[in-house]
Amino acid sequence: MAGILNRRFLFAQLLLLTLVAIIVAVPNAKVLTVTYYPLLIALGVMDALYLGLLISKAKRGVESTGPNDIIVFVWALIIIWEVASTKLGVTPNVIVPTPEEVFDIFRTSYATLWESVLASTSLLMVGYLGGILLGVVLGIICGWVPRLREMFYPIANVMAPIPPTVFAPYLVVLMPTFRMASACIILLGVFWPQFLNMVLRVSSLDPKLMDNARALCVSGPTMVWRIILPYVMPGILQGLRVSLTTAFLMLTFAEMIGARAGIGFFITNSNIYANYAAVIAGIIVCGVVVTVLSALTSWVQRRFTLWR
Amino acid sequence: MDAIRLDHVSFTYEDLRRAKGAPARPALTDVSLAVPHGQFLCVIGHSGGGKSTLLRLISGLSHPTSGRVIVNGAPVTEPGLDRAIVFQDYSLFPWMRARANVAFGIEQADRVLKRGQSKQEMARTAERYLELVGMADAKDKYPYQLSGGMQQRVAIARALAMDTQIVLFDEPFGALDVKTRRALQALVATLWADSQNGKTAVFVTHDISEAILLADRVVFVADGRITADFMVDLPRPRTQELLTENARARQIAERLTALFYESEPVPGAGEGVPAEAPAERVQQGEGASRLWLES
Repeated sequence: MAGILNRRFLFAQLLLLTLVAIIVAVPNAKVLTVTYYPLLIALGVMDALYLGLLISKAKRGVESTGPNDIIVFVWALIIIWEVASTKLGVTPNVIVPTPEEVFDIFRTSYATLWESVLASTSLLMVGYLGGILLGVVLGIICGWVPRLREMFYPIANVMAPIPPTVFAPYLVVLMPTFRMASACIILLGVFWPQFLNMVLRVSSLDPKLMDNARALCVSGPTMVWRIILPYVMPGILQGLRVSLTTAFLMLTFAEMIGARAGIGFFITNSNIYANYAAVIAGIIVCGVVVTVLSALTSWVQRRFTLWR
Repeated sequence: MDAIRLDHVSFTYEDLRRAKGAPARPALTDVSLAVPHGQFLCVIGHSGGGKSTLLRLISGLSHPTSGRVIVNGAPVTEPGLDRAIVFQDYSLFPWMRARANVAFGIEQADRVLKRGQSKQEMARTAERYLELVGMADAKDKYPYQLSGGMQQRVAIARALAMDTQIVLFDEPFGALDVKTRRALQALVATLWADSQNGKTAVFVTHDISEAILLADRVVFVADGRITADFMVDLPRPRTQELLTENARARQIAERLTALFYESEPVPGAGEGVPAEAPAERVQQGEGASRLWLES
């Protein structure tokens, strides 16, 4: 614990105090219609996250300057933003909202934002998990059966590089509902890389491992569940993070062209009404959602590849 | 009835990379061999000389081009659970902990041979055999957490725990350092002396002292043929000292060394082999150069 309370830590906290002092005490050049309380709460949450990270690193005995440097960077950015917009008023009025305005969106629109996040993540999960599941199952089958491999591998090689976004406008028209179209676009983005990865991995299964399995007369379901799946598992998990990014990209793209819900829709819609504070708030929410999902994926990855 | 019998067995690797029209080099040519129950047979010879092929044929992982392989009176068509194998590497599945690896072997034998053991029974058996090879403390470790020698101990535990009549060893200690190798040779020697359950063993090696320490009988394979076949009539238990102190042991060692020199590896030997036995090619140069150094 004592290791945390060093000079870098104190500097970061001092910087935060300065920021709070500027927000509260320095007179505004710009007339604000919102209070600064949401901003202060957001700063508190960020500082708490930073502290949590420091403590967990200290507990694991990891020495790292990362968290300190990151938080100092973040405070410095917000100070510049705050001073330039609210306090000096040198930034263009509508296009660059003040920090107070951006974080006030979380107070005024939290219900909408929460619904958007739910709509987006549920759609994302359908497309993402569906794409991965299909990719893994079909990939293993095609990797295992040489005839199927020789047929589908070249097809996959042609299909995979086509950006799924080019299908998007047409899929939106083709599918009965917008959600189905979105799910299809995400699924396409995730499926092909996962499928190719599985075909390659299964068809290059180490002959020594195969000999070992054959010598034990392994066959049928035992072969699939005890040998092939564990063998390809690292490949699946490696692809999870990349696929997640692709899936999120596809999702927000799809939502921006035709959705009536979701975080991508929230952003585009706010943009149309020139509510740039809401646009920035939406982008921040996107970052949070992706980070949480990505952390979940890492956890799954560690949990299932202890043997490496 | 013999435990293992080979009747005029020949084997040629199908090598797709072979130049068109070039003759396929047979890995084994007209090999006949009978191994009685309970015998510890060492197959020794150059790398790429066909000894690993011989083992693959007995295991059922490969099928003879001509001739028959008969195990316990029945022709071998595929791998069976009357034969356990210890490979040189990848003997264990990397995603299973040590105990799970051993238990998996037992479960397979149980499932295929319908022995009807309970899960707990099999787990207990697994632990008992891990203890037998001195690996009781490592039962919850993954193979990557074990040294090469420890992995081979677990592999031996698995082979024994499967309770097969025949155990096949494919250069199991070929990749280990001298000290570890000696410890494991002693372990196998002890296990075979203790068990007295009449397990038949076929042990492939290119290490002369290993063969003399372990074998009841030695078969020398060179260029796809058996060029020597004799009993190792030394008292047991055998120790490392016996190899230097006992006159008969020295005599056998000299004979085996001479056999290595008589049958120099054919230039390009092993070129037809790598597709199925890449490990052999790596060792070939190493084994040969060591022999030259000794001369």
